[in-house]
Amino acid sequence: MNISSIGTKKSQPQPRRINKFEERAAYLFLLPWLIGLVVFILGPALATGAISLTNWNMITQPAWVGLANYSKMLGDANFWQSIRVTLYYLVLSVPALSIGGLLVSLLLNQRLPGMNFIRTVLYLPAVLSGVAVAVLWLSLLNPDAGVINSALRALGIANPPNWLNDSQWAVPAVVMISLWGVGGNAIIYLAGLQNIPPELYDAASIDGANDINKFFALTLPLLSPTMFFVLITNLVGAFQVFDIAFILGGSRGGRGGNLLFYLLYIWNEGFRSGRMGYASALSLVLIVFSAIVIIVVVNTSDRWVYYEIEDKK
Amino acid sequence: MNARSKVSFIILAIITSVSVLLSSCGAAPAAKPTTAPVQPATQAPVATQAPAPTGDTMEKAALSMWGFGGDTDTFTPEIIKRFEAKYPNVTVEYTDIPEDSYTTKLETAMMADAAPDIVTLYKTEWLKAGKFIPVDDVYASANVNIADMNQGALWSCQYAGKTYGVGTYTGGVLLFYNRAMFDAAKLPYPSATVPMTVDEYAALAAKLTQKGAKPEDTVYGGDARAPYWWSDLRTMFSEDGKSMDGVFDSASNVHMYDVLAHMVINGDAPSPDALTVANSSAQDLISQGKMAMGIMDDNELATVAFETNHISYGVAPTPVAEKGDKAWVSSWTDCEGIPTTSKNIQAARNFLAFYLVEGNQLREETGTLPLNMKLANDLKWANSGDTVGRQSELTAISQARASIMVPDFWDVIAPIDGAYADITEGKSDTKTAIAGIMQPMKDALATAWETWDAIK
Repeated sequence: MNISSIGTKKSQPQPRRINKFEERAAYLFLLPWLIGLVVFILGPALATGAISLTNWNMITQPAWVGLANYSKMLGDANFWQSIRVTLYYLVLSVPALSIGGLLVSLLLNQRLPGMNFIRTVLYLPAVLSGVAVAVLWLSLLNPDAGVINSALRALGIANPPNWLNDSQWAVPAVVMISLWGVGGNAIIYLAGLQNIPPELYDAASIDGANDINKFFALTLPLLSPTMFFVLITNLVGAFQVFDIAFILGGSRGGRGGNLLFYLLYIWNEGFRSGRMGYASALSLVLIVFSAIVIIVVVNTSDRWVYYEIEDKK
Repeated sequence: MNARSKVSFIILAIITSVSVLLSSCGAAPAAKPTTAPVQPATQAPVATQAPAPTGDTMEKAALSMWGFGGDTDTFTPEIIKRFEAKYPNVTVEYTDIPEDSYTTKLETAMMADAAPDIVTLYKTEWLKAGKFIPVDDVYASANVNIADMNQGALWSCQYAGKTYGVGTYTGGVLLFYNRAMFDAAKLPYPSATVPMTVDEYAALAAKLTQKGAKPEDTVYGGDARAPYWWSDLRTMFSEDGKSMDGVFDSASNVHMYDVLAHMVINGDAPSPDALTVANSSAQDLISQGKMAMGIMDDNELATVAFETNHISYGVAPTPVAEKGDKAWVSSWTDCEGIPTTSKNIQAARNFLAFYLVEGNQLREETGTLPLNMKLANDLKWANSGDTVGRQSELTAISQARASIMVPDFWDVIAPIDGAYADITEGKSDTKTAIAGIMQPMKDALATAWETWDAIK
């Protein structure tokens, strides 16, 4: 045996060679997804990057402006307002929707008469169109003639909030509207809760654990993958508020820009004001910023998300 | 059921009840129709001036047409039907696009040189970019005197001295009033020719207001929403549309906002928010006898609604800041134009000529005020329906004149609503509120002109 033969094919197990036919078949099966990726995600993302370096009104040819659209953001009051509104919504809505969904799911997990009906009713708002929900709430929250302020006045509150017209109350009002659809999160939590083996609770009871012990020692850890999923989807949802803001405040973000959510601002700049280059730059900033937030959350998940399979290993 | 289960059940029952309650709020009772759909004409058109080519001479063509009339638009299918009947060699395929996505779809098509042959014009930017052909000669070929058109409404189809679209109706923002309420108060009707000053308007509204114990029992004299959407743009911008300094914050404009805001504060007009509630628009309130004067953003809808509901109405130009100011009526029409990329330009021109003549005729037949004011007078549009109301509407809207061009207008004036609310809610005085929004509006105006200037 010469040196060159040491460690060659005969001495190591080799994976089975894929023949040309299988290779071609694999690519063919992958092709629909690859086409979708290139045409609908990668292509538009690259185009967005390229357009963001131009001034383009969708009517005439784009004009190269380099990084001017990005530097323009720094002095753009509406840009900062849209960041403020979106972050304010994110900070309020993500915990409210995550915790609210969990609490409702704990109630829905009880064995009570008519529970299927109650689950259905609570889930109903989650399947309603965002536009329909917004139109309904627009009427309910009307400061002068809305049902909510009429009720508050009847309860003795002489000056109820102006809701969507009030810089302090506009975003909390949108969070309140979002909470109406908390049934969507609750159903996901419910699936997680029902996956927890009941024998674990029985064993905990035998060990003398009370309900609070069981919740923190069993329910929360075993539900943490579901919570992680709900957290990510709520975060993504918070960055994507559009239809409800459009209906509630119009395309310019309502009175004083109280409802100028970031996505609404992008749309307005691109499709209303004909500044597609600037809108593309705004879109890229959103992609980068939301990616950073998601990456941070995913990286910290090791510390608080418990996967049962890890113990089995 | 143990105690804990009972508590859980009660909590769930409460949440469920609230959800059901909120859901039921969404199912509003069927609103009383405020508008009647436009019906296709059943009678033969009279006294039409035929376009140059005849059915025999027009070459075979298939025209494509885009618009955003929506499901209730019966006019477009009817005019196409009449055109195809007269010119069997030519077909017109109409595509209705939701207004929200209309400009995006059309601009995408224009980029791909795939725009249809006939489209409803929407943005002046398209005209500046040279995407449409002028159609002044279409008016000439149809033997229609362009001076007979409502000049304010026609202005929305024009740019740089050329006309790029043909229209068939005159839309306008006008002051409508309930004549019966004026009669009951023994007050003279507002003039259809000489506009009231805002002070006169406020004083008249105060006389007509009947305050009730509860807000819903109040009969309001007038409508005092922020006036930017019905005022002459020259009260906000310089003549070239490039500046607001000394115009929007001028003493007369501040006074106008102040007087209107005090109508709300004094209870002589409902708050702007109250008018956004379902069945509580200015039109609804006038119909219900709960408002004497209201500024209507669509004269056609208001006319149909009042006539359908047998409300005796009158029409006047919207108030002006000072005595002697010329009457102003914001107006518009449907502007059908031809993209430069059309492969059937001649056939499209012929269609527009037909559309102009027959379309104005058809509008008159169906009760809508045509763009052609001479035709409206000749065919006595005001002699049907509520003749007093229609005559005053025709007189008032005939005064509509050309506006000034301000790019991205709605974006520029976006801060006004917030400032006006601060005034009506007593959070700020008028001068301070207006001064506070000058800079953001000026910034937005500068950006809008920068974007406009980039269109070569």
